[in-house]
Amino acid sequence: MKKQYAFLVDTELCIGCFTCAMACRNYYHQVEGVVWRQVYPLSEEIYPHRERAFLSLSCNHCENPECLNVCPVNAYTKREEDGVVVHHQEKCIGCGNCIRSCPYGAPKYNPEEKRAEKCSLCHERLDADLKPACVQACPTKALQLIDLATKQQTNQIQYPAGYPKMERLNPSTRFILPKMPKMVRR
Amino acid sequence: MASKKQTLSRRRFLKGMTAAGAAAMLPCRLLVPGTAQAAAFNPDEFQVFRNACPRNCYDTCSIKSYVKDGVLQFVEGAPESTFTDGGLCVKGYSYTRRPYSPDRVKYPMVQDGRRTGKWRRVSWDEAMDMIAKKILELKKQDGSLLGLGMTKYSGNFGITNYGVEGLMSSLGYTTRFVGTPCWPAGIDAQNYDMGNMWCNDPEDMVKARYVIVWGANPAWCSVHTMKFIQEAKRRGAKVVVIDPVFTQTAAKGDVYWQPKTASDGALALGMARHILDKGLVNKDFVESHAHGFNEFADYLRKNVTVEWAAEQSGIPAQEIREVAEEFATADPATIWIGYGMQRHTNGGASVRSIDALVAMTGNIGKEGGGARYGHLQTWGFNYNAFIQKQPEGSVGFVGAAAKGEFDLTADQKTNYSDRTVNINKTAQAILDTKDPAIRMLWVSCKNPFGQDFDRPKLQKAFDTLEMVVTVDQFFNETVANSDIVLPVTTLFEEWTVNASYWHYWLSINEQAIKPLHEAKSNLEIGAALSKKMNELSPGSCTLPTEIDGKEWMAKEFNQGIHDLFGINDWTDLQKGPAKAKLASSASWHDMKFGTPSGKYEFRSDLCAEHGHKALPEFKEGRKSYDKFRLLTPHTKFGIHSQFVNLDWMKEYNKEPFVYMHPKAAAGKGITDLDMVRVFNKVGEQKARVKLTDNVAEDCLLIYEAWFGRGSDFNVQNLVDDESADMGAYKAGAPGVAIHDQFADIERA
Amino acid sequence: MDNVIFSEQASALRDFFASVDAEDLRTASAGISRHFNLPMTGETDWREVEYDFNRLFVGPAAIPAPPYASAYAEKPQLMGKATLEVREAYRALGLEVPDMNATPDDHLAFELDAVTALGCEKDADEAVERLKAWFIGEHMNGWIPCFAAAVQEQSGVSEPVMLAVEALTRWLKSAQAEAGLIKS
Repeated sequence: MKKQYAFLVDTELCIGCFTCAMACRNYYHQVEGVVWRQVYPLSEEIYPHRERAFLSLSCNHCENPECLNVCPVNAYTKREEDGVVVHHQEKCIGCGNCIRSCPYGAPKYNPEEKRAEKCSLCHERLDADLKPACVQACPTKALQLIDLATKQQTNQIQYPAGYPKMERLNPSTRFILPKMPKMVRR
Repeated sequence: MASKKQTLSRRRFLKGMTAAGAAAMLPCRLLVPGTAQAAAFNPDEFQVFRNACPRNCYDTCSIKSYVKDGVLQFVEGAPESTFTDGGLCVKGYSYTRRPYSPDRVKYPMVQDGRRTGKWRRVSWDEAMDMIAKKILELKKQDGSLLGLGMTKYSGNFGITNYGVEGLMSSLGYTTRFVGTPCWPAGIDAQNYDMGNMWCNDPEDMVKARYVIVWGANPAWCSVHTMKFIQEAKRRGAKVVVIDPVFTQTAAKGDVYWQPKTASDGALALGMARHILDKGLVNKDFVESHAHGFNEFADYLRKNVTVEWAAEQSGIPAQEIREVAEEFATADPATIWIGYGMQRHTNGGASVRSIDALVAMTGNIGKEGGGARYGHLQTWGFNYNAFIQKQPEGSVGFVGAAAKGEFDLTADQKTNYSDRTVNINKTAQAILDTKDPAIRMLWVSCKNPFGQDFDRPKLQKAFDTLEMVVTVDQFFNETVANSDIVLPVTTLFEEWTVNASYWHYWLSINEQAIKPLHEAKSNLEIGAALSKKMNELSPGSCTLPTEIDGKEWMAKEFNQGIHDLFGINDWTDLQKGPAKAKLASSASWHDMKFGTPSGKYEFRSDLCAEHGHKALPEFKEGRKSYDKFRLLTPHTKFGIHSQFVNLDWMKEYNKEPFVYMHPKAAAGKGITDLDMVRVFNKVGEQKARVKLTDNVAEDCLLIYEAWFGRGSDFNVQNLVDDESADMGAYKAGAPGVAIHDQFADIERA
Repeated sequence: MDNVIFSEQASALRDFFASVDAEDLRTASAGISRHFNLPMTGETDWREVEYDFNRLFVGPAAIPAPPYASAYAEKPQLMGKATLEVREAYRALGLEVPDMNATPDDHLAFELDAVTALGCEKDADEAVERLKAWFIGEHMNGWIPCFAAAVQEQSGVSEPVMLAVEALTRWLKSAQAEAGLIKS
C-alpha cells in the first residue's frame, strides 16, 4: 500500500476539550462560520451521557475523494507522496459541487473568498517536518497522525456509530471507541 | 495629548517611485489571486517570543508567540515543557483574538453617571489628574487613605502585576480586599495537617497505581494533567472519580462515584474506618511521622461506620469498602483534591478527612502518591513590585492586617497597616466599613460583578462609592459600574514572569507586540499615577514615576530562583521554560513537616485554636434553603469572565445553558432547550435548559461565564456570600461556599 | 472630480473620524457641512454627540460599527490581513502610521488621510494611479459600505454622525467613479 496519512481519533483518550479545533483556527484564522475541524458530541443513543464523548472530525483525505471527482476545474489534487487531499483555492470557482457531494461535510464555503476550502492536513507543516496544528495541540494525544501503509493497532475502526459508511470513498480517518466507567450513583 | 490627530507621518516620500517598484509593493491579492496551496512553513519569517499564560489555572502554559511585522499571528505551546508538551488549551489557542478584539477597551475613558453608557475619551494625563485629586481629597478629609479600597485578584497572575498592590502601598495605607474565592479552605486544611500546602509534581502521577480524582475536573480545568492520569491508567492504575456531577474527567475514569454534594468528609471517614478495621493502616507512617493518629482512630471507632458514610453520601457501603481496600493496598496511591470540593461550609473539614486517608495509608511523601492540592514552592520571587514604602507620615489602620495566600513577603514591623476586609464579602464590606467608609475603589485583575457573590447587593454597594476606577481589557459589568476605565495590556504587550501553583515549570513572558491603542501595563499605570500625585502634592506617592516593565520583571529574580531552576539569570528563560530541580517529585519526601510537632498532624491543636476541631472530624454541610442544589463551576471555554466573550470561542460555545436531570424536568413541565428561569433569595437568571443525567435529580448546574456583547448572563445573580469553614488562617479570610447554593426553576 | 475638492472632502471626513472629544466633533462637522454642502439643522448638544460617537466607534463598550477595515474583512478582528495590506499601500507611498502597531493602520481616519496624500500627488505616475484605484475602488469600497450600514442599523444615532456617514458614502461613490475612470 502507498503511504496514506490519516488522522487517528482515539475517543477513549479524547476529553472533548475543543483544543484541536481552536488550534486549527489559531493557525489558519478561518473566517467566521468556516470550520475545518469540529468536535461533535456523540448522540445519547451511541454514548448514553450527554456531551461526554466526542468525535473530532475534519477532512478524511479519502482514498477516492468525492470532492476531487466532482470538481469541474481540477481544484483538488491528491498528493502522490502521502495521500493528502489538497484544495487549490486559486483554481476554485466556488461552484459548490464538492460541498454538496462530500458525505462528511469537509469542504466549507468561504463567503469572503466566494470559494470552497477545507482541512489541508497542514501539508505545508508536514513538509517542514512539523505535526499538523491540531495533532500538535491535542493535550491527551487522542488525535494522532498515522500512516495507513504501516501496521496499525487492531482496535482501530473505520466506521464508528453515527459516522457515514462510504466504502467507495474509503475515508482514511480511524477511530478507537470510547469506554464507560463503572457508574455508582445514588 | 501627545498625538491628538491620527495623521500619517511622512517618513520618506518616494517621489520618483518607479512603476515596477510600486507594483511589487502593492498588496499581492490585487495582482494575483490568493494561492490556496500554502507556502511551506518557514519559522524564519516570524519573530518568535516567549509568553506565559497568566490566568488563574493549574496549567500555566508556556507559550511561543509568532509575530510578523509587529502583528501576532499565532501561538503554540513551548516544546521544552514536558508538562504541556508543545500544546496549549482551547483558551490558549484563542489568545490572538484578545489583543485584536474590536471590543477591547482602547483608551482611558470617563463615564458621566454609572450605567448611563455616556462615556468620554480622556487622555491618560486627564484620567490621572481626576484620580489623583480624588485621592488627595480623601486623604485631606479622612486624615488617611483608608477610604481608598483596592480589589485585585487573579485576572493576571504575572508577578509584576503585584505592582497594583505596590501602587496602593506607595500612596499610603489603604483598605485591601483580601482572601480568595478560590481555594482557601483547603489551604488551611493542608497547613493544619502538614504545615504547608505542597503537592507532588503532577508529572509523577504516572507512577501511581491508584488515582482518586476527588472534586476536580482536569479534563476541563487542567487538560495537560489528563495525559499523566491516562498514562498511569495505561500502566495499570485504577482511576476513581468522585464528583456530584458526571464530569468529563469522570467519563474517563474506571469508576465514577456520584455522592451527595458536600458529603465528601463522611465518605473519606467511612473509607478511613474500613481501612482501620481491615488493619491496612501504614504503621510506619502513623507511628514515626504522624502525631495523634490513635486519637483519630478512636474518633473513627466511636463515631464513624461505613454504613453511616453510605447513608450520608449515597454511595453503597460495599463500594466504599471495595475502593477503600484497593486504595490502601495499592502502592503508591494518590488523591487529587479539587478546589470544587472545598467550596462548602464544611470544605476545610472535608479536605482534612481526605488528607488523613492519604496519610494513614502511608502515601504522603511518596513519589506517585500524595494528597495533591497545590503548592507555592516556585513562587520565591522578590516581590519588588509588591513591596513599596508608604510616604513619610502616612496614617493607617492600627492593628494587624491579614495577608493573602500569595502575599509571600516578609512581615514588616510598622505602627500602622492596611485595613483588610473579606474579598468574598465585597458587597457587604463596602456597605459595612466605617470610619472612614470606603469611598473610592480601585479594581484591577478582577471583575467583581462577574465573580464576586450576590451581584444585586454588589450593585447597591457600588452605588455608595464616590469613585470607581477599573483597569481592564473588556467592557464588563464592573466597567459599566465604574466612573473611569483604564485600558490594560494583554500578556503579549508586557514583560513579566509566571509560575504555577500545580506544576514546577517557570516561564518568562516577553513583550511580543506593542500595546494596542493606549493600553498600559499595571506597572506603567502605577508610574503614571505616581507622576501626577507628585506633581500635585510632592512626596505623596513613593512609586517611581517612570517604570520599565522589563527592568522590573528582572528585579523579581534572585539567587534562590536561579538555584531552584538551574538558570544563570532570567535571560536563560528566553530560550524556553525551566523546571525546578527537585530532590524528589514527592512533596514531604524528607518527612519533615511544617507543623508545630514537625510531623503529620492527625490531631492539630493549631486547627483547634482557630476555632475548628483538632481532629479531622465530620462536619455537617449547609442546610438547603430552596428546592434544588445549584452548582456554578467553571466551563471548559473560559476562566471566570475571560475567554468566553471572544468570537472564536463563540464558534464552539454560543450561549449559556442550565443543566437539569430529565426526571426533575418532567416534574416541572420543562422540556429540552426550553427557556427557564432559575431563581432564589439572591436573584434570578434566565437561560435555555439542557436535560442530562450528568447531574443528579436534586441538582441544577450552570457554568460560570461572561459572554460579552449583548448578554447579561451572570451566575452571580444566584450565589450568596456564605463563607466556607476555613481560609482565614493562610489566605486572610475564609473561603466561600460557592457550591452550597440552592435555587428553584420554572419555565420562563 | 477636482483633486482639491476630493482631498478637502476626505480631510474633513478624516477629522471627524479622528475626533477625540465634543469640540473636535463640532469643528469637524462644520467642515463636513461646508465641503459637502450638507446643512446642519437645529441646536446640537455636542456632548451627546460625543457619547454617541464613542458608543458607535470607540468604546469602552463593544462597538457596533468599528471604524477599521479588518473588522469587516476578518470580522471581528483588528490587525488582520486587510490592515497589513493597507500598511503595504502606505509603504508604497512612503508613509506609515505614527506609533505603528498601536492604532491599526486601517482605521478610517488613517485611510482618509492616505487619500488626501494621494490626492496631492502631482503628475502621479501609473503606479500611483493603480494604487489609488485599488485603495479606493477595491479596498475602501470593500468595507466602508458595510461600516455605513452598521451605523445606519443603529437606532438613535445623532444627526452629525448620520451626516458624516452620509457624506462618507457620497464621497466614496464619487471617488470610486473617479477611481473607475482611472482604471478603464
